[in-house]
Amino acid sequence: MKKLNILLAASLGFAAFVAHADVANAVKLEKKYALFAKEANPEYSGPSAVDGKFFFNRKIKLANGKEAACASCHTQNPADEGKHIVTNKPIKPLSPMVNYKRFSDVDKVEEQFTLHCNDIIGSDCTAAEKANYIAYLLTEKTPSVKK
Amino acid sequence: MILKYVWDPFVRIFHWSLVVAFCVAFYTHASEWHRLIHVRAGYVAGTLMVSRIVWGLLATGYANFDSFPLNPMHAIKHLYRVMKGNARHYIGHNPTGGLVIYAMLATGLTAVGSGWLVYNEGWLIDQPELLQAIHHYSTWGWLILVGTHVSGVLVESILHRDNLILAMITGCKRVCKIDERQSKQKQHLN
Repeated sequence: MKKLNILLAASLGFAAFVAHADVANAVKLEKKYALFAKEANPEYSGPSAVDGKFFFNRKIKLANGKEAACASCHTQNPADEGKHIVTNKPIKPLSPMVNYKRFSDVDKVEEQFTLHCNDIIGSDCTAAEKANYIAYLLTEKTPSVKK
Repeated sequence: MILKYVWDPFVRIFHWSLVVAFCVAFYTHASEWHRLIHVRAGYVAGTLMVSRIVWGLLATGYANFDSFPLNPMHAIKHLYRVMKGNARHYIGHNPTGGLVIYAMLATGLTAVGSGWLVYNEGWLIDQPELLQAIHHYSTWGWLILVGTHVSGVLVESILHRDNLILAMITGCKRVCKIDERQSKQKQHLN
């Protein structure tokens, strides 16, 4: 009986941990960016996963001649593990649906957006682009089947 | 003016190579495009600091750690005397400068070590967030210490009427004349 209790307590504890590991923060962030986007442009019609997907896969050429898309490193399926195109190091999945640590901390998200947007499009992204981006990532739930 | 040969070639080459490696790593820290350059600059900085520590244990003269022992109390006392204007003239590192040197070595090695682990994610210590935080704060702390080091060098250069930046290139520092030292000692006694 005592063993069972311990097991129950442990599984409850684990359940609590798992319950924490969700995408609530990513959804919150998506909504927040959408609010900012509407503030900037009243015609913005809410986060669009389609626009986000287009943005994710679009290759952009910078003034310094470098060219890449988000998908260059994160692959065309952000639920998959990525590969850094400069260092060839593996990158953990970007989609918060697969990797709950992504898009959980607002400061980190803002910092990483600024750095990565500067790398890829040469300036920070707009709130609309960020909202669309997270909206798209939230739709990518299934890693590709490994061959 | 009496000149004394203080900094051996190893120390001078180490010093300016570390400056270059630090600047390169700092300039390339933000962009993923520069990640490899950043990492290599960090490895160079780490190798340089490890060799400086080995040299500090093996070398003789002013390069040896024995010539500038780590003593925070002496460092504070020296700083106080500098402000009072009756500080002793040290030929190698003064106690305050020495303290900053040790602090820079420790923070620098922490920065390089944590950066190494951040780059090789999941290797040895699988705590990416913690490692990133350590790397972030230790590098900015290192930058602050470099600022302290440079301002200390400028202050001592002015106080001792000696160009310490040039001294790190040529290896030679100005030595006080005997009477100048005695007058300082008299001030100290009064």
